[in-house]
Amino acid sequence: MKILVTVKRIPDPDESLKFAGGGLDTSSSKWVPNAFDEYAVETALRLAEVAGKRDRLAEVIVMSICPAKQRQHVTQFLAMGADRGVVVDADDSELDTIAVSKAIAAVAKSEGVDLTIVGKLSQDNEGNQVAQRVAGLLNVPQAGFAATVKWDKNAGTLDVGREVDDGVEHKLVPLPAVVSVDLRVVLPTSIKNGVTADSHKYQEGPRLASLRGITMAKRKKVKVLKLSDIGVSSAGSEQVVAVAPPPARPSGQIVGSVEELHEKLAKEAKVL
Amino acid sequence: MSSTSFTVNLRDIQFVLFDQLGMDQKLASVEAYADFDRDVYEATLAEGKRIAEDKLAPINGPGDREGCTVDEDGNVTTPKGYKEAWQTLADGGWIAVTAPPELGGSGMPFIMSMALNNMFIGAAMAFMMYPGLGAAAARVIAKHGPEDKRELWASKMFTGEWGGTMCLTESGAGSSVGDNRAKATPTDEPGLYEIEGEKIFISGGDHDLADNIVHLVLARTPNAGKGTKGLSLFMVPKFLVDAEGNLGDRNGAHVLGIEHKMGINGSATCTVGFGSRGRCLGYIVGEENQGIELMFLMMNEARIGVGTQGMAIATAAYQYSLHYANERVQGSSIREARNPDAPKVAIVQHPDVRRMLMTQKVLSETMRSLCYKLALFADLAEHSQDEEERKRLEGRVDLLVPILKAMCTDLGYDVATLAVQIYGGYGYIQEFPVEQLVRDSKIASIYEGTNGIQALDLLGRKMRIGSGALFIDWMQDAEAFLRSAAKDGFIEQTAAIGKAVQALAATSMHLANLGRTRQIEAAFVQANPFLEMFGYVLLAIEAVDQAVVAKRLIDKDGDSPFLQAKLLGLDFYVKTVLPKAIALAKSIQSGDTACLDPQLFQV
Ligand SMILES: Cc1cc2nc3c(=O)[nH]c(=O)nc-3n(C[C@H](O)[C@H](O)[C@H](O)COP(=O)(O)OP(=O)(O)OC[C@H]3O[C@@H](n4cnc5c(N)ncnc54)[C@H](O)[C@@H]3O)c2cc1C
Repeated sequence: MKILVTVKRIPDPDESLKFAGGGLDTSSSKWVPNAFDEYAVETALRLAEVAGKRDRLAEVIVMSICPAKQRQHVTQFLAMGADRGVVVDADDSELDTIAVSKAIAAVAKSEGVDLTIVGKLSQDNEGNQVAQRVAGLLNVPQAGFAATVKWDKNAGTLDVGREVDDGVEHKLVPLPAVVSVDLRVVLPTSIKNGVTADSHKYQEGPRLASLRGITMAKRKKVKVLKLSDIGVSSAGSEQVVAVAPPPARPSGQIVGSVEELHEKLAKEAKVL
Repeated sequence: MSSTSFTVNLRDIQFVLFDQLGMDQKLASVEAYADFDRDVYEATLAEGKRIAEDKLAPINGPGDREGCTVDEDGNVTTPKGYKEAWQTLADGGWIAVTAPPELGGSGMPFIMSMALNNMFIGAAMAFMMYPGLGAAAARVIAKHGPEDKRELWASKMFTGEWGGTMCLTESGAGSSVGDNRAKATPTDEPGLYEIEGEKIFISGGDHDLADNIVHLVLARTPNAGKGTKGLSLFMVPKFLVDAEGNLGDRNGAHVLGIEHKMGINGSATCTVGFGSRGRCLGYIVGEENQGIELMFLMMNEARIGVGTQGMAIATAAYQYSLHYANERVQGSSIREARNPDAPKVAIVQHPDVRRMLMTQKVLSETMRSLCYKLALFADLAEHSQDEEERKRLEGRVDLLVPILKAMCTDLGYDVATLAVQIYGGYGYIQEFPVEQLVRDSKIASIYEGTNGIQALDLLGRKMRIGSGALFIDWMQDAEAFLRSAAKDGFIEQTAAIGKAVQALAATSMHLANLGRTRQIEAAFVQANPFLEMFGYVLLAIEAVDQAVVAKRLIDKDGDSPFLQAKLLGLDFYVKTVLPKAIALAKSIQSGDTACLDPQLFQV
């Protein structure tokens, strides 16, 4: 089995935003991996490995669309345990979601993967479109916002648990498929691959890379492709008109009495 | 972000490693590190930050309050969470960052292990004593242990399966290691000795983190000479082991008690009895009478390591203070002193708080720069193909190590104290993290050679090697560097530092003259002030180095508050810290010897 995991680098969400020229200024940003992609890689690794043993049930490929020279996040995921990488050398901030999805679908197709795992959204623009679009482009089933995944190897299916408003919904999807993952997928027993004991408890959260893993990461293969290699054009149909900071909040007022408050809510704020 | 959460300033660490020192490029041509590049180093740092913040910082406060306990058999229990933290480091290969891959290490350069220690120790200094000493003992064993055991034992220690200690101190032999009395008597088996004696203050003398513990013990063989030259080194396991390393009988090395201390309470400081409860066996490391020589071989590394403890505490103290000062609202701006309705402000707005923050920032960042730089020199010295270059680098490290150790540990404590001041009353309260930093950091100026002993080493040994050759070489480099920095536009600043370098030279001449005229005590009264003065000059040079790099980056990539802060930091250093060096020069050269008057200090 081959699993493709998409990973993206984003400006550190803990840093305050800078604006310039009608858009975001990321020139001095610190770049970090998108947290949901860390969960996606962790999901793939738990599906692929037999806990405590060296055996592997699947090959895990991480792919990123990013400038080829700025792929530290890919190194980080290889250090975590992914087997190899594919980098599509492009400035992803200049691509719209359609172009990104096409690139991912093209790589999934050419690699012949059985499963594509993506984070449910990227924390920078919270689009939440890629999984759906990729599934559409590949014409394979999709299961979004996975909280649990159970792989039945013989049947060639995934049982994906999704937390919805009124409970947990289970979707049985035949492979090949596209799955997007949510936060809870990295709880200790969320992933079952049929070989690692179902009772096995992983540490919560995406695993830390070992130092050995980091030093080995550089020896792992990373294929670098251009958009033209996979037949995707960067000309998109979406356009960013402007990005601006939200208006500053007006300062609060201290009111003298409940009556005054009521009056203001009714007449000034017009919320009553 | 809460003011009590620990944060690693990755940006500054990367600035020093890559922008300032260019360590990835300088080490790229070293064969041992050919596999590594900036990506690998950055991934290592990113993961190190996660470990420090998520795994180590949370056990620091609770570990301090809980402390260690010992049972009647001398088994030590470490605080809650220590085992899991040890396992995290062991599983990930973080205990032995620099050890060779064949022995379970990751073969990384020393400078990377100092950068990681910067994060890990800042997060949990007491905990880090265990892996720190274990790895240090393992490095000695890997190089000089008995040939049939060295690889097996060292790899078990590097991977955290076993722990390790360094046993030098005895009640009658602290600073004066040569007064060691522990005995080692040969048995019928070559290389195997029976060890008898009692060591005190042994960090990690026992613990529950690993299956076995290997003590490296200094002891004297029969008929060996007095003083340090008659000491030999032994590896003494808690459990004797077979050729495959399987644990066998309990060996006669037992903890007799643990100390109740001012700080690093999570680190068990033990009295260890050898042979007091049953026969104690140990294998010789190296040869008889080679003990001190082997200890000396790793002394520079160990002292850079302890200096890094002081620096790590300083960088942590500054991070805590910075966050707190931005959160704590108290009073209004001094500009609005007459306005009773003036808005309340965060204390970071008050000039006195800003002065304290700036002092913390500038000292901790120049210390970081000094520690990493010397670690890089040590790496380059170890691997240089050019014999002359190697000698020069080794000499530079030899000269500066005592200054680094004493300066970073003294200033580390000072910067932690400033954090308590910035926090106000809350700083004095255990619920907040900074009072622990004060208590924890104090030990670093005492062990691994007290700072008094460092000053002695600098003035009595290092300054005299080759009639001052190491110092003259350093001074020439410093002056050349200042000239080039002046060309980068730092004219006033380099002129002021140049004067301080001259004053340092004059002061050293003054002290040398006292030595020549046999006024030995008058000279050594000034050993510590001289070290301190030298330290302030060294850190000034780091401040310029950082400013030069920052300016180049600004010219190339544009301005940023981070880079501007380096320029401001240099100005602050030159105007408010550097004058201390000039004042010390005056005080040292005044030649006061009042404290030597025999009428004083009688009880
Ligand atoms: C928490 C803790 C952990 C420790 N861990 C270890 C460990 O793991 N292994 C180990 O072997 N030891 C360890 N030590 C011991 C430590 O290294 C010694 O305490 C230290 O070397 C000082 O020795 P001392 O305490 O006997 O002080 P002394 O040597 O009695 O020194 C007292 C004072 O006299 C000064 N002084 C002494 N001699 C001279 C001199 N010739 N010239 C000028 N001044 C002098 C000193 O600078 C100091 O100010 C530890 C100590 C502590 C407190």
